[in-house]
Amino acid sequence: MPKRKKSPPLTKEQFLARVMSREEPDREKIIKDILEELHAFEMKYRMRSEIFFKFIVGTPLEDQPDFLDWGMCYREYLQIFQTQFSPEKIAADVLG
Amino acid sequence: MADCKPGPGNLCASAKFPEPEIDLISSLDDRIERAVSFGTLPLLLLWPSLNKKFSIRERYVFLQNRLHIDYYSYALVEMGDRAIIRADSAPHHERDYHRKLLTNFPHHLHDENKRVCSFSGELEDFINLAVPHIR
Repeated sequence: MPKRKKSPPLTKEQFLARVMSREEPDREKIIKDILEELHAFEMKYRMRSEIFFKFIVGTPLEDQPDFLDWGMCYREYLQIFQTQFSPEKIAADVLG
Repeated sequence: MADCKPGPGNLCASAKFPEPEIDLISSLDDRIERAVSFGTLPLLLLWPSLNKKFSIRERYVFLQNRLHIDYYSYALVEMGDRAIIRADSAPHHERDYHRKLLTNFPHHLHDENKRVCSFSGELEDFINLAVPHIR
């Protein structure tokens, strides 16, 4: 395996400075990452996330690492939809 | 803790983890944004040469102006997805493998023998349990 490049260690001050100076979050990229993660789970288990969430989340079948992660990832996805398409936002978009 | 370096690098140092074999810092910004924007932090430490990975996923909520971990899953996994030990807060178990009530329900641990045990819910405690399995 090729050796991967490592970043130099950061001091606490450098880390905080980097976090505090960060630019506007690239939400599109974050959403893309989440969708890719959901897609990977769907391909691995040959199941749509909606089906998984409806029939497995909250049952004893959920009790394995992938399913717990999948469930959390899907909740995140739902939260994005609530944020992006809340009634307030839709009304604001319609009314300008 | 005042002189600690932040982030997963420090996590490794304080827990005597081997250095992860990935560039964590460059992907950390994205992870922080994801936690800030959507309330979930997924982190993965990889040691391909040891055939192991350490998965952390936490979901946060604000309750009474304080940040709480609403839900989490921690797992030390062999490549190929066999969990060595793992812990989570899903309310699937009320009792441990001795049939005793979990001391800190819903937090529980699945040990190396797949038995359900009581667990504090603290990441630091999970790391201390995971360290002997990593080398």
